[in-house]
Amino acid sequence: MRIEVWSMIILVLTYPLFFLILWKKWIRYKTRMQIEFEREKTRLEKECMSKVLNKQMQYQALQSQINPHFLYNTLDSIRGEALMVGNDSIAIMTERLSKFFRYCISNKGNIATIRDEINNVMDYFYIQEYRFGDKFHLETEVDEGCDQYKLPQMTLQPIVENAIFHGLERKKDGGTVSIKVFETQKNIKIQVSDNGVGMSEEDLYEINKNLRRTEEELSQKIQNDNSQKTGIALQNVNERIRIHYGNDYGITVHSTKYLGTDVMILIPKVNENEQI
Amino acid sequence: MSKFEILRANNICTAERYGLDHFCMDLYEAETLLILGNCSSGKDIVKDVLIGQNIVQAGNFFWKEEPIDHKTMLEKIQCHEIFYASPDKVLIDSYTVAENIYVIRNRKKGIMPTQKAMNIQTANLLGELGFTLNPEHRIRDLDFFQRLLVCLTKAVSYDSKVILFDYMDNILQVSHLKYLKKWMEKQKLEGRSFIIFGEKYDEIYKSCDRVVIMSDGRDKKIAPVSEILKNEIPYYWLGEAYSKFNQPRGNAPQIPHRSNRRSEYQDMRRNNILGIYDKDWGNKKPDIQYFVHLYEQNYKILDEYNVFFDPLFHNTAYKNKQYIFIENIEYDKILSSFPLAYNLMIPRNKWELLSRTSRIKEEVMVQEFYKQFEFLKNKGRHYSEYFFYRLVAIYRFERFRKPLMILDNAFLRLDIVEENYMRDYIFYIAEKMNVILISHRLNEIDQTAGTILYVEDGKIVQIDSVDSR
Repeated sequence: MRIEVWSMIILVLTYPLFFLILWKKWIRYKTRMQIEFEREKTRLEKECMSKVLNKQMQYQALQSQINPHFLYNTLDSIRGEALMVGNDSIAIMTERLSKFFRYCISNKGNIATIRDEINNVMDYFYIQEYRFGDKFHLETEVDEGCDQYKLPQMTLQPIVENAIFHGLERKKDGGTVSIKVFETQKNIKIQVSDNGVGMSEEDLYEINKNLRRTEEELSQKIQNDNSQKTGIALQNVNERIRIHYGNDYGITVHSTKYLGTDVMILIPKVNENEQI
Repeated sequence: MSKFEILRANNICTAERYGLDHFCMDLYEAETLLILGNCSSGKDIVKDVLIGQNIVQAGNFFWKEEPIDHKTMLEKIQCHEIFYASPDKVLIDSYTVAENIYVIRNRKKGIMPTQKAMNIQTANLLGELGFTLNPEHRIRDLDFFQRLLVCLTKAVSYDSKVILFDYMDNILQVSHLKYLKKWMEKQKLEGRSFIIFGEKYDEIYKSCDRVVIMSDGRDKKIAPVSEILKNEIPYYWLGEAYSKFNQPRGNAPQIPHRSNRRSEYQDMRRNNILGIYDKDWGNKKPDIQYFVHLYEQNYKILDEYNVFFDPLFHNTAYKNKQYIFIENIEYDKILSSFPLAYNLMIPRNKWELLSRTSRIKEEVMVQEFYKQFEFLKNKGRHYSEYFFYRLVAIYRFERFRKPLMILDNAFLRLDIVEENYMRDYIFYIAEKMNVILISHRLNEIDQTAGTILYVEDGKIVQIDSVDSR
């Protein structure tokens, strides 16, 4: 009798304990699944955002959506014709244009070296010289050893383009765009400066405010305002840098009306042979 | 060669109503950074944040390129890696130099050095740094510059990586700045960095490597000092407001003449005072030919101001000069080399040069000087040496009785009280002769001159008179 009572007591106590342990395991499993789900969600969102931004960049470069091979072949044909009639300047210009488009559309994992970016900017500038003559000047100052470091493709060219069209074009006697690249122990700093007309304090405030936006706010903005095609170059470059390297990196802008604009890009040091 | 980043502030915001608004700056090793801003620019808030006396609401700090939180930043400050060399906040007046360097050194209880050991070790350290201070002197007996040196010694004794201090332009003299510049260059070789907070961009500008120009809690421009022209700084400070006021060059064919400038000092004697404001004046060596060229290039406009410029065109041989030009550069050195009486006794002509002066006459001259400037006898108030030398310089030439006196940067480095005394003295001189005040800072001549000529590249772009209503 006593044994039966004790076994009843043990059974009564064991069952709830057993269910309690099962319930705890279930909760832990559920939490783990949720964490993994969130992680996967963040990774997919980042990937998606990166693809969207890259597409945006490519779309801006190829507004007419021409097949790139057709474009390169056509440019090469023009170059050939120019060489045959002895027009060297047109030949050089089409060569530079072809190089520029190849670089914009090429897909080397969307990462390039600083050397490649500077060369691309120089090609772009050369092309612009045909339109504006001697009005604009480009100065580059790259610290020794810095040109091997990596950064997202098409980082510098949109900023230089902004400097020309918003800063220098409106200035009566033209100006200079200067690109300075220097390294610290862990980071690379790139400063793109122009001595153009600058911008008003309100515009500068808006730009810096947009640059500080978080990813969620930005993805919402892109979803709601897909038709926006202009004025997004700085934001695009900033977001691609942040997606690749984190929120501690990116772009800051300083500008004063009539004196010019400085854009400072901060990226970590990633060697040519390393992966981001 | 790569730079070594010591400190970086990224989008710092503080809670005050006119606090920091996404302020960014970076400081490299072995660098002097000047944070330049006017009185409401927020540079004092930056200072408070860097010394841990203000809490950051948003933004990040990076120490040696690693992100740090507020707690870690405070630890860096408490370990004196960032040190604010402020005599008022760091030093105790009643202690000696040696005691001040040792006070609150060691948080752990243990055997403290004896007074003798403290004095010897402090003397050694001062000797290494090249400071000629006595470790046994009390702080209250030292002047501001010496106290600053004691603070800097304390910073070095803690092996601080970043030293902050304020540029007190109304107290520090030119010689002090040169000395500090040489000393900072030596410290930079040991990897120390300096952050200087200042409002004026005269001599201190040349001592720094980079400048952060602040306005309204934001950083407007960060660049090496060599890349920013001094006359561009107001544009960065005031932005569009200043740009609207100042016409771009070549756009103003007529000279705008305004007569609505208000002034606190409604004194008719200011009609005898002409002000010349030229932003480039500080960049070149003062030369009397400047005024001659100015008149020649703008003689049509300056027709009604002939009375100021005529004396310049008289025979310029020394004995026939009809003007006195008192330059600002290096004045304190010249006057300080001689006793006051000798300075006051500068001969007006060859007869005075050859005549003997009696001792009684010298004493009388000194007494008359102090009678003119009775406020100098007030022992409760310390006037800067610079102000004193300036008064001597103007006073000794006043008795020459020439029709024109030209004063170069008459109010430079004077505090408010000294400025008022100087202004009263200039009004007094204006009763007897015409005065031209020339400066590269408008506020120095604005309240004193009756008419101001704004000069750019040798041309007069604007004329401003006091409202006579």
